[in-house]
Amino acid sequence: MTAKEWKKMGNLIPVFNKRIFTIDTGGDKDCLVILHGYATSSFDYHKVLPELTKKYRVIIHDFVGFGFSEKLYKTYFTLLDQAEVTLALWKLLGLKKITLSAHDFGIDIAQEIIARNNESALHIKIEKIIFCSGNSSILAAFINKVKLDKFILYNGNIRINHTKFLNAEGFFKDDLDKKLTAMLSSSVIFKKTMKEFFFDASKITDKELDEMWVLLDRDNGRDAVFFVHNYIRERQLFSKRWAVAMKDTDIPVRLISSEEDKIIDQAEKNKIAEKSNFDLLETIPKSGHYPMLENPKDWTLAVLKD
Amino acid sequence: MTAEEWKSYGQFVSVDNNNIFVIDTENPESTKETIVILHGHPMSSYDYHKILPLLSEHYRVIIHDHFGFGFSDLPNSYCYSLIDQAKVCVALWRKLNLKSFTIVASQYGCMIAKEILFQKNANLIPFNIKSIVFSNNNSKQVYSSLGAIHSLINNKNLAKYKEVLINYKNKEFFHSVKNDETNEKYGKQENVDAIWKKFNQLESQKEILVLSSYNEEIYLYWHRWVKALKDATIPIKVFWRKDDLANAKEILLHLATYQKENIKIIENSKCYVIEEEPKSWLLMILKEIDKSFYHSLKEECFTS
Repeated sequence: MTAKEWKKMGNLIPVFNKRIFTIDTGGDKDCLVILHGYATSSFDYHKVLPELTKKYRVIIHDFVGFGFSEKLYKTYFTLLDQAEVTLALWKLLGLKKITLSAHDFGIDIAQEIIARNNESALHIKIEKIIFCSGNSSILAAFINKVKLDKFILYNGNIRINHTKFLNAEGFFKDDLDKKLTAMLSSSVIFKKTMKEFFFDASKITDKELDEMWVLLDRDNGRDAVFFVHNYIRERQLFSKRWAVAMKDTDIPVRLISSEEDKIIDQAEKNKIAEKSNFDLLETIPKSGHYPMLENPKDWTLAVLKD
Repeated sequence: MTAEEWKSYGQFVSVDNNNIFVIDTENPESTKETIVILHGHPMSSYDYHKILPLLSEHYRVIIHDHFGFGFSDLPNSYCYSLIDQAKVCVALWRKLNLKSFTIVASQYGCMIAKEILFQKNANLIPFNIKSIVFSNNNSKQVYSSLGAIHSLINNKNLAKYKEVLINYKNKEFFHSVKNDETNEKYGKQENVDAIWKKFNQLESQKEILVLSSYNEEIYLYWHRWVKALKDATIPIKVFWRKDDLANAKEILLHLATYQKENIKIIENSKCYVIEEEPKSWLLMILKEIDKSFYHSLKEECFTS
């Protein structure tokens, strides 16, 4: 499927004076909302949409600055803004009960939404949350949060713990930040970097990557997207707020992750499995950071599993 | 008035299972117009004890200590963010059942007020905010006795170094540059000891974390908050002083990009500060938001 064909499947919906590209498959089935990952767009899901539609009314939108949604010129559109646009969009679509699934960057927005859900500022019932291939650092902070409490209680030594979670973020600041910034410099580097995120690079064609690049580059999109650094800062700022939100929520949480995802710290992942209150940890074998593109069948099965 | 007396005027309201210290000068049934005050750093609600008697003659005045300041708690689950402070305000005002009010904010409180303005513009909160006053009511002198710690926390680069700060095991941090230079910067050895002692107390670490994320957030939410001012339709008064560099820069940018009728920029040309010239400071604010009260109070001042 080309990006052009994908565009025909959705609509541009104005939310807070921004045009948001939204795919809504409609019907009166249960509702599945997908929040896409960083540097890509809703187009990631073109392989899995038909299968998901059999069970769900699927809603995917492009975040502001990504895909076919409105791009911004030299403005940092914060995670809070993205979360607010998302909520406003759901409100416009009249969603009442949803299963929320989020990938990578979308997880941060999902967590902000969950935090607001806990604050009961939200009048929508989220049934369950499915995370896939998310960056583990927030979850690492979640684990550290648990440890942090214990340390405050018994040892009073808060510094060690803070340093730990700041260091965990430091890793992403140094390596990932550079990589993600560099991949925006040209289509060749973009394609090369994207392929690195796959376990089996032959699963993604150059043509598909070209389409993704077009989506990224259109409308001076790279200017708007050039925000990795701010985004990592903001995530660090809120890591505690979100960790608390994830701990407090009574919504069942499921974690899906790829076995060969280079962005996830695999050791950290197991710790999360041990110490969190998440339901189950589904692992997709032989898959990189984009399982919905690399192993669409396995990914769909994992998401659709009850 | 002592701090303990001030405490006795207020009450504690629980937000997210943590106590917030609030002064509310009227009963909820009061028909007076409401003014909500958001205090700045490094002060607390106590800043306003000199003007409260005058202001409360005409208004229902509500002042609270932000989390981590004054008599309020600092929860452990707190992410030290202005966004969280804004959420606390909203939760508190909902508990007090406020509907319609004017916000008077100072420094740190200004940033919270901008976030609240943004949420108001986006229809995320249910209040009728009549107008917002941004001001800077503190004198820089407040800091002077805390000179050394001030130079530490006023350092723009602090956010970058908080990791280092937290990680540091001893006072070497202050001597890591060439010896003479550091001593000049942080004062005498006893100052360094005092900073170190304060820093080793848990509460002070929190204070530093609060402040370091404050700098970071002004940067991160620049566009969000400029948009808040740009989209605002309610009257906004901005008071600025020549010695208030951070604020002046923002105003210049504002003037250069768009001039809006509902936003008025007023220079506090005599540099009134609340702890030294409380009446003059109050008159300056009232002149913009309540002409009749301003005139009656001014007359009173003249006759007395």
